[in-house]
Amino acid sequence: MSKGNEKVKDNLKPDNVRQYNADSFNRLVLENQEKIYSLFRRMVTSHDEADDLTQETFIKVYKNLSKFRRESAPFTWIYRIAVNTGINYLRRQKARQYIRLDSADLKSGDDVIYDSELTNSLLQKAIKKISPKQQMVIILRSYQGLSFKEVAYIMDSTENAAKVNFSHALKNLKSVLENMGVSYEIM
Amino acid sequence: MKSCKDYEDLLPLYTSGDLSSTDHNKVSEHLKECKECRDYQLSLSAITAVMKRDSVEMTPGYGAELVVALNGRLDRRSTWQKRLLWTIPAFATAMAVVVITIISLIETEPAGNQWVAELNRERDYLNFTDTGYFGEIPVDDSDISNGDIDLSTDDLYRDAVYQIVENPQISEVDSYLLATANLDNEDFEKVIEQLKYEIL
Ligand SMILES: [Zn+2]
Repeated sequence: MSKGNEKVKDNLKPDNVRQYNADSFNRLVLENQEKIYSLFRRMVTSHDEADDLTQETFIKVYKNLSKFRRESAPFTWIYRIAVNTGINYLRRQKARQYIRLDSADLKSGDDVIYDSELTNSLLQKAIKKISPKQQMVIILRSYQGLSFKEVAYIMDSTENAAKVNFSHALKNLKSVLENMGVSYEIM
Repeated sequence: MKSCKDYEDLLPLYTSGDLSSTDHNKVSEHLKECKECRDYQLSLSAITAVMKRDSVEMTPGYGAELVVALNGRLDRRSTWQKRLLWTIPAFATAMAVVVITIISLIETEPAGNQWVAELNRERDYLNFTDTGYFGEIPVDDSDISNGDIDLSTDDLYRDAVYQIVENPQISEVDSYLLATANLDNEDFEKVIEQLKYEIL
């Protein structure tokens, strides 16, 4: 057997394949963790929640690696998994409020602030009041600066639908902020 | 002639710079002469400006910590699954022994050897694929489904509400997720409305 063949055979040993794949998975995590963590950090209130969701996303990435087709960039594919994870999480949270009958959670009067300057934290609160899908489209487009083509792929819709979704989201956000008593004069 | 309402609909994409240049110019012209739409647009700009300025603070070393945490979680899974999978080659070896014994009784020597070689190749193959890195964890389709099946009817969301209200003994949230997995956003909101009505 030639030396080259010997080498190929060596690379195909289970231990080497395992190592090779572990390395590429780790690289995928390192290259994309910041994007994915930031996405979740805008969606939830605490670091721990964002960290949990980031881990959940990458575990799913790992489990579905064999299904990844090279027609899309790895990061948009990972985003796609993250967005699904995020939307499910938001829905679960919303449901929990009603199922637990936790009256404390249903109180929402405390975040009405009159004549207040528009700030990051107010915006974060307002974003949580629009639908999960609209939250995602706003975060992906406005915060993370992705193109509508990318947003469409990630959200499994058309570019046009993504634009319509974004328009509704931004308009809703504006009225939520107005209901919270935000004024824009200072801007 | 477009109404202010029509222009209003274009303003979000105008603000994000995603209109065609023709539409963009039309909107610009209208904004010059309409204060109401101008104010509307300024509010949207203010909102997007805050979003652009805002950045998420990452703790240094988060990436490395994440890799360690993930590898820890995946390792724990795979050692458990490996233990199960080791039984497959063992089983194949046992079967080979049985087959060889039978063959040696009824077949000539060379044909028997071929069989053994075949079986060994198969066992090696099993050994490689089933203990390979990605072979260890079953692929879970449900994880990345986007709810393509469109079952969003009134019946479906009533079913969903029924399941949630009637099955509190299952993990509440799980039953809820199960029941709403195929709903689109609008129907999901209906479920929430219905829930408020049923429970509160
Ligand atoms: Zn106007």
